[in-house]
Amino acid sequence: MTLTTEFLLWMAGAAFWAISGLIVVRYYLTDAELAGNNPGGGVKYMYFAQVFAGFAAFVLVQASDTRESAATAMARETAALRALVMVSSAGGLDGDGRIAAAVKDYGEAVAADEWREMAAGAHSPVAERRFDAVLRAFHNAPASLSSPLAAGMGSQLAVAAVAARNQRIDVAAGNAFNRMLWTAVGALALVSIAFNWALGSTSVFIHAVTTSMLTMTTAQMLHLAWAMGSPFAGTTPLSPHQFVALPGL
Amino acid sequence: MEMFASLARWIAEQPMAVGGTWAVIGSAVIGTLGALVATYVIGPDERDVSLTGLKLEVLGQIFSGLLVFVLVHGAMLQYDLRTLLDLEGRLLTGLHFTARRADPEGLGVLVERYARMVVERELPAIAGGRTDPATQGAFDDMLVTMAAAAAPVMAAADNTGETLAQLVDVRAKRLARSIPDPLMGYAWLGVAFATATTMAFASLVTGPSLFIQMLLSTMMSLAAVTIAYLAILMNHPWSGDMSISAWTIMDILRWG
Repeated sequence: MTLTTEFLLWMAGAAFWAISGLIVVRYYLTDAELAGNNPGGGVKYMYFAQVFAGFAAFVLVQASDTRESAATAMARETAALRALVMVSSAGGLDGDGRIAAAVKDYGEAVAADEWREMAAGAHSPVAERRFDAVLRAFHNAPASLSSPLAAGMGSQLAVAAVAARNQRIDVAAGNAFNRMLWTAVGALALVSIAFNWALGSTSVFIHAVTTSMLTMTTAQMLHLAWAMGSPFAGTTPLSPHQFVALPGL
Repeated sequence: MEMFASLARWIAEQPMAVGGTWAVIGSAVIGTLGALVATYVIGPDERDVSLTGLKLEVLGQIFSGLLVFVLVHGAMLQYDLRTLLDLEGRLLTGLHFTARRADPEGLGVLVERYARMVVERELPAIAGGRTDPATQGAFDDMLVTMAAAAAPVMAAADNTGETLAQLVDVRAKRLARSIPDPLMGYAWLGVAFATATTMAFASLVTGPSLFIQMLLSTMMSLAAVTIAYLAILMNHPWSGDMSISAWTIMDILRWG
């Protein structure tokens, strides 16, 4: 499914939620009863919308931060590993090509195995073992034959790769707070639209159209937040192409 | 969504005077048309001013949430990139001093070549949403040559390895933050849809004076469009009049 298809489905779902509620409520209540709710219900609705908008803005910023943290961690990790291979080779640390081969194997394991695991919030034991193999290959490199600058730099790059890998896995794992956040914002969005059902109008058609447009605006915000907050899953996951492109032998 | 991302990039590339003029003209046209359509096509009973007005207030609050997000995103992007560029410039300057002392014709030239390519090739490419493999190649050449260098001054400067490793990290972060996320195209679609919805609602909320309603609708539209325009500029830090200057890296070329 593409992002455009998913977007259209969300919009259709939003319109369905708006219209179906209006139909059900208007079946049981008369126009006069509904119109009587407008003054009091309207004030409460505005208060609710203010609280919801503040919360939705926070969720959007949080979701965007999650995606950017994942993308940055991935870029830092691959840049560090790529530089490690080049520096080891140029500095005489990787005469037999073990470091380059280990990095290549690790990149393939991340792309083939760990990306799938991260979509479910886990990480791959295979990739983990191969990452350990990269670190072992670097630590076992013949230091006496190498340039001191390359050895020092290689250590720094290895440390940077470890930190970035941990950050990437941490972002993928998420936590209970995220689940609470999505539940709360989803429920608030549904309730904010349900307020419209209890209001009376002089034109049912305009009421239905404006309620649908309001619902679609809210749904777009939620869908955008959902897409950003799931950097390894859904229709717009981050691509592991940087891991596939890691240099090998 | 790519279409909206490209459109936002194109808007950011235009001079601010042109963008500002179009924001005012566009708002006036939309405000006028909306008020005219609502007055002459949709009857007064159909418009339901009080209920639509209530919904307009709610829409404004929800839209403000989206606008806060794109503004905060743009502000954080600008701040992060300025900080990263400053750090990269400082690291590169330190490296340049060491390289020039050790081997001005070899290592020094490599650092200057990388700095020149960042300014002349990579930043314009990033503004267009692309990376520049040639600049990455220049960076790799500099890294590999320095790692293999056995010059005594390089060895004496024992923090050179650390500086190079930090440079790898900072450059990776700068590139990751610089290339626009395709999902921002979706955010711009959301802003455009919310602006259009705001104008539709505002047009329905009319009063006895058509002229005053046209004026009020135009001002409402102008408020939304101006904030959205500002957010677009802030989210494209390498394009247009609000772009970030790479002066910390340009300094190396001046001294070199």
